[in-house]
Amino acid sequence: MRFITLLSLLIATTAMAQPKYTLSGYLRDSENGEGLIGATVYVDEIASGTTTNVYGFYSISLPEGTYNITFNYLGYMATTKTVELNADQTFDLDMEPDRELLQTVEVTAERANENVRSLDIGVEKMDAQMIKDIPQFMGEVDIIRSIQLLPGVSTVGEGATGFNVRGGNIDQNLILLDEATVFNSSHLFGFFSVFNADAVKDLTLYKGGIPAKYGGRLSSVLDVRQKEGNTKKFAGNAGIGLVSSRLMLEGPIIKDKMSFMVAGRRSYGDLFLPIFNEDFRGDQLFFYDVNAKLNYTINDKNRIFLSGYFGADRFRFGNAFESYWGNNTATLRWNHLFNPRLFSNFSAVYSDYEYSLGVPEGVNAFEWEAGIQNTALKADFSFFPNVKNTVEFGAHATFYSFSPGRAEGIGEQSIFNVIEVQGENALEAAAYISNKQTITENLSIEYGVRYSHFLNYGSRDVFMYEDDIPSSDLAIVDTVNFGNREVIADFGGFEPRIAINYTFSERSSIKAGYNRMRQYIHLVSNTTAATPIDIWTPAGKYVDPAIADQVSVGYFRNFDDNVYQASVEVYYKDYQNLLDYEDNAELLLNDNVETELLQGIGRAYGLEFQVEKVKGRFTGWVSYTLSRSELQVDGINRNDWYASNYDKTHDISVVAQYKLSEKWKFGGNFAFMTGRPITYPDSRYVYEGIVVPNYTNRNGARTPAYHRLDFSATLTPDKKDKVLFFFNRPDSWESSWTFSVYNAYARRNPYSIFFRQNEDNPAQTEAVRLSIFGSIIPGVTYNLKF
Amino acid sequence: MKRTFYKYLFLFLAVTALLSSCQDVVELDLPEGDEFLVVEGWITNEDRPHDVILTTTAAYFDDADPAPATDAVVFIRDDEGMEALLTETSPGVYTYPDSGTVGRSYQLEIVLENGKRYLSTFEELFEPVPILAIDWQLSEDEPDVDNGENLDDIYDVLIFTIEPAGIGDNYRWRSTLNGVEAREPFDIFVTDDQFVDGNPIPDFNVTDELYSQFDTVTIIQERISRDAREFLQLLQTQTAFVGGPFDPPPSPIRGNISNVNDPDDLALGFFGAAARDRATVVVGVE
Repeated sequence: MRFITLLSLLIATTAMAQPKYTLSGYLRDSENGEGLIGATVYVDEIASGTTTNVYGFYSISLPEGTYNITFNYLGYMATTKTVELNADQTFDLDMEPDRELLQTVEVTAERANENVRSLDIGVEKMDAQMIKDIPQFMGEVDIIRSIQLLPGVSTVGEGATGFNVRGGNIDQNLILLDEATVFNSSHLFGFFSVFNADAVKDLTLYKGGIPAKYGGRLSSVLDVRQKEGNTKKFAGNAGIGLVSSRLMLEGPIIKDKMSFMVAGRRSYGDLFLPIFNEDFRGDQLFFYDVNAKLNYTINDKNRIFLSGYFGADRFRFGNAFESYWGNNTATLRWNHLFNPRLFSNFSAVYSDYEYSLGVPEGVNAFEWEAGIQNTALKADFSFFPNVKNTVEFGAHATFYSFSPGRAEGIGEQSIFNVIEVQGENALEAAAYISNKQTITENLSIEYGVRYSHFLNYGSRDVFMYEDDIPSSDLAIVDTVNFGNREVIADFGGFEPRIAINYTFSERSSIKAGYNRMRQYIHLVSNTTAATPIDIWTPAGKYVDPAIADQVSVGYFRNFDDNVYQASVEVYYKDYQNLLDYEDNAELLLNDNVETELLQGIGRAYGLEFQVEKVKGRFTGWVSYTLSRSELQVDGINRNDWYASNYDKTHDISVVAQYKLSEKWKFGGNFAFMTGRPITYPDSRYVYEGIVVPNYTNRNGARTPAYHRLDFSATLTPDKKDKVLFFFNRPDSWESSWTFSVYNAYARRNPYSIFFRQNEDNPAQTEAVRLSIFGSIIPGVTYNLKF
Repeated sequence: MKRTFYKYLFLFLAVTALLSSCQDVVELDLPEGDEFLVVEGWITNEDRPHDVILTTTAAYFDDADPAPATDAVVFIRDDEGMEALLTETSPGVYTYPDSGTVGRSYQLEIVLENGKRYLSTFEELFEPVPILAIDWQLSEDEPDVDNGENLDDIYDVLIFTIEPAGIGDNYRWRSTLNGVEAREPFDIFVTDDQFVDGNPIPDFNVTDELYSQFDTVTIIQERISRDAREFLQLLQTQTAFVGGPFDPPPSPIRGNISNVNDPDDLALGFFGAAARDRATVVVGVE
């Protein structure tokens, strides 16, 4: 409460006594009507300005007077307008995309240095075009792979789902697709992501300096926004590739008022399986996604969006094995402008994530399934009292229903009974308020606080253990039944957030940030890479929520008229209550999974360095991250600190793009990372004729380093060339071919090293390197834009 | 059921990983760790002598046979006051001449030559569950020629048994083919009764191996303790389920034996009580 009074006082003192009027409106792309996110609105007279929000809306309140306002967005032509502000005014602008980007661009100097001036510390933004230009695995554009090329972001290896940010586990990233939480960001175990780049407008990754409006995960937020749908004309994209094909259609239903966007993608890898082995005939291995969006502008104060995502993976191996996972979400959002200074968004989200596997037929037939359903309600407000302050506040509530596992025999022949692990229910609620304030011309601060609360409630039977320690199921002394909606455990706390920018000049600045994050649901996984049977578990009587505190400091410097942008950032994270598993944890279908879990502390720290060239024929970046991530859990590794599974000392990425001409564009990536920690055997022994490796350490050694080079070439044929060699194409259609080579020098990057008895001589033991890719992987995609 | 489930899960995950992956043997220099005692011994209801084998750990790439732990003093005792000293009949092999009695619990005590003293937990010898029938039949599976089977291996061996009601029972099956026991990591088959409690189990294939005509196959059905089952499962996970990206993390395999004076000293292996019933069949012969 005191905080809010203080806040209003601060805002009031920075406000002027003169009458204030507000200039507000939307900045959109002139060709398709999409709102521009993060475009700048700069007022020359006060040498300050604001940026558009995720819906393209801006609002700036100034004293009465005449102002020169410049609207600017990278990739678009800047526009300056003189405004006589003597009453509240609306000004919407359709901005023209800048086709002349190749040559030295006349981008207004003030805003090309956005990376220096903004309060964003530890924030990476990418737009869909940038991602499409990076050479991809098998020609499939993949957002998750692309963000792994950024500093501070890595992965455990090929075939690993998810990504790691600043020494955090894959479950510590909040992934949002138009406000809906995405639990699993990959198809086919990490080879492909769930995001269809054709449907994506913009994405922002927050690694540090996470604003108060986000919470629930410790390490990062990946906020992905889908396209709204072309309000001006019917358009689309199609692509055919080696692994999957996709189609995106968008267009107006009522011009400039209501539009839709639908995108679908389906892989057909299973058709190729019989080539590898005749036994695979009749097997299925595919994924699909559908992204759909409808947007309707009711009037200039109200807009509604309805979006959905439906995606699944299916695998079937004859009658021996079958697996499925699917993620379906639906979001309804309503933008409401109370007045030109108060913008609000209300969202209702429903999401259903389920996964199953089993044996389809025979005496051993069974099916195991699990899932999470959640319903979320969010209210977010942006208040623009004056040009020096932007206040954001709001509240969120999410209801979860977890089904950790149910196994059932199939068919009358089945010898199996039904086993079901009790479901869990929880409510995660939060309220936040923050202010972005310009204190002086050189100093700006974003400060805020989030309060989050978590309730784990019944109905459920909860086991009571001896001494209240869930050491094993033999220690159960009682079972207590909690009724419907009766609270079993509750947790809560504050999460302060602060980010500071001190600008030395137009070319350089220093930024610092601190945030505290709380995470109430955890992914319980016993393996290095996540598998289909990993389970999300809420905090409860025996599992505490995890907390992370992160401090980061960075220095940002631009060179050569903002052509080169460089930054150096250091961070330190302190974790409490991180989950890890006992040796030989039995996690599947375990009614008392709490007996297998241990919680401990962790720390992660590092240095991220990046240099990026943003203009010219030749663009790209080099990033280097030096880091360490470790845990200490009583009961593991003899209670000593040990490296986490995703600790990578060095991580270097080089991304380059060269536009030779209108017709040819080339790209290349090089990635180098230190190997992954592994546990090696100290000794061996023989038991009943089997040679057994003996381990006393955890993650005491590393695999050899990982490095890989990829290339791509994009050919955009001249307008007069035919589409797919067949028919004449309308002038407005653009087509292109993308050729890619992944792992160009065929390195067998070690995914892991394991130890086994030699097949021919069982007394002999050997160390074996497992690589996921041992050769060059080519890819070809044909893309069409109409 | 869990065994087949894990086997299929492993197979599936291995398949997806194998589509373009490869495995190569690499040279590694591993530091040598401390030396620990390894115990292998089972007391059963069968009427014959029982051996306890004591060896020590060795460096990981040391291919020689394990070194026996000789001149140790080994006792077996039960919960009704019986205590017997085992005799070292060959280096590292200590023998108890009698059989175990159903319903009693047994403990092993070891004092090594260097004075270290180890005790196992008490292991109960339960009432054995009989194999009610054993039979062979023509299999639906094809012999896996790449994995050592030959084209004549076309029969399954199946047993029939009834699981006694009451959750909390644990079992292990061993098999012998023409007198030789199957002892590879994949041959370990253990389960609890969580999914099948109280049910009759007909046509139960406990080996997943194929046999040819005139093979003599013996199936041994053992009723073991929960600790023994967990030990064997962990042993199998650490030795058989390796080589894929989804392996469980390596971990030390704790048995049921500990150093009385030093809790940090590991004793590996297991001393267990197994209540057995055997059945034999000659395959392919009416």
